[in-house]
Amino acid sequence: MYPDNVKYTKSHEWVRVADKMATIGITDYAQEELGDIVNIELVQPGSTLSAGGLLGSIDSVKAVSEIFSPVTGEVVEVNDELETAPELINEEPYGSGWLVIIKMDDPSEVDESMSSEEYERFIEPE
Amino acid sequence: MNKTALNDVHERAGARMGEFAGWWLPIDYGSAIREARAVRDSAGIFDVSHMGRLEFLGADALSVLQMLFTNDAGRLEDGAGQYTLMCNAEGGVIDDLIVFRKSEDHFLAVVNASNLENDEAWMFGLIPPLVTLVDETLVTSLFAIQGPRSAGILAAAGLAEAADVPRFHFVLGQIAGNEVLASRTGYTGEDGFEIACRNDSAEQVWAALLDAGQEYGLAMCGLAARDILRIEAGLPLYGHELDENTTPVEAGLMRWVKLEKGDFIGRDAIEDRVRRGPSRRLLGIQMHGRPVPRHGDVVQTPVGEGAVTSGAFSPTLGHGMAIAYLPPEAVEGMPVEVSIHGKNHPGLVRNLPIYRAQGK
Repeated sequence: MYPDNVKYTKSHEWVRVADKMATIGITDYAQEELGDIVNIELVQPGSTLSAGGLLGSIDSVKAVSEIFSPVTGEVVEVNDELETAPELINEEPYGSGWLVIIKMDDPSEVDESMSSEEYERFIEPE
Repeated sequence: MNKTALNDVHERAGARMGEFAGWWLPIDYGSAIREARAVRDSAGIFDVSHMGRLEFLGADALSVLQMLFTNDAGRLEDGAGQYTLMCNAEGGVIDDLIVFRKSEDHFLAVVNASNLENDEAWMFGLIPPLVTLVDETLVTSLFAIQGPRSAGILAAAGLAEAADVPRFHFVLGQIAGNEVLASRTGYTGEDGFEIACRNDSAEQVWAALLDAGQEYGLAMCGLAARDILRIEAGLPLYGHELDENTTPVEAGLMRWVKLEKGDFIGRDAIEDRVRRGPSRRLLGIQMHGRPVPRHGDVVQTPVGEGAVTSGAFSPTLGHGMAIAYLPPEAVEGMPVEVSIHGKNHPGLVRNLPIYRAQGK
């Protein structure tokens, strides 16, 4: 459940890079831990964020959690479908459950993120 | 940490387990939302063995219950039960519970797991030597089958008489050869039953119910679905809507307080509160969209401030919802703003319950 065409963060976001565009979501592990996701609030398109900046918040049945941007840049697109169907994050965390697309200031920023193997070791040490 | 007799069964079924009131219990079996929907549409089964179960035995048992509890247990016939409250001298709620009459000198009380120890400590000080209090919690199991198809499932499991049991009554019978007590009670706002059996019968009874429920769409449900359903149904949870600083007047529970039955603990204080009027009222809130209010969130109304006691996303409404203490002047339809996670979100005041089962 950890595709290797994306990079992973310690706060359980994934990022998929094409040129300067970074598509961001939360990992399968994160959605599984959260349980049913019932609401999501994301930053507006046009916002600029630094790596580690607040991207939004996710309400699951249990609790609200914050999501952070793995990269620095401008939010060019937000997944509007999640407004009425946040369960897409549970169903397809790497597909239709994506959160935002950010135009990165510096694409080399993602080099510091984890590979799928590193992430798997991170969430299940031994 | 206490574990129910079915702990291994739940883990094998893939339940996400968690701690609640000192018990290790299923939180969900994959999706709390799907489980809550199953209860509204067909039926769900819950292991609620953490609920405290106390038996009162002795010729004076009734007079003890009349002193301890606010409802009139004198109205109960054999096989009948009632929702009731146990209050302190100031009228504050110590616990909310259901009491059943098994016979004239034998009663069963089902109390909150989180309050069991505290309840017993309070009761021990007030019970005369000739009434015996027996805690059955750890030797028995309790399952809830909730939803419109519950009676059909019990019939399929061999308990056909359940269909004729009136609400808040119970029947003794057998499921898969095991003695059970099945009461028509629950915590979801749907028709349903709660089934008690000995721990050594628990696996067989659970399996027989699941088996019988297969063709009825019976879903295993955890505590997360239970919480969603009880909030939709406007049912209080101790520690959220009720505590020792809240009287039945504020909580809107005076239907279950019988001031005319004679003396009981807390009566004078409650009467006084009724005379003076409550300083806050328990009401519902329906959010405009999906934002989920949480316990403690501040509510702004046109008539003053209030606070959320419970909140959830309602799969039945498709909106965020809450139960909240609001100023006594608040009425249904009033616009409110709930401060959720640092941001204000609009909603409307609703009378409780926010959801009522069809045909009720």
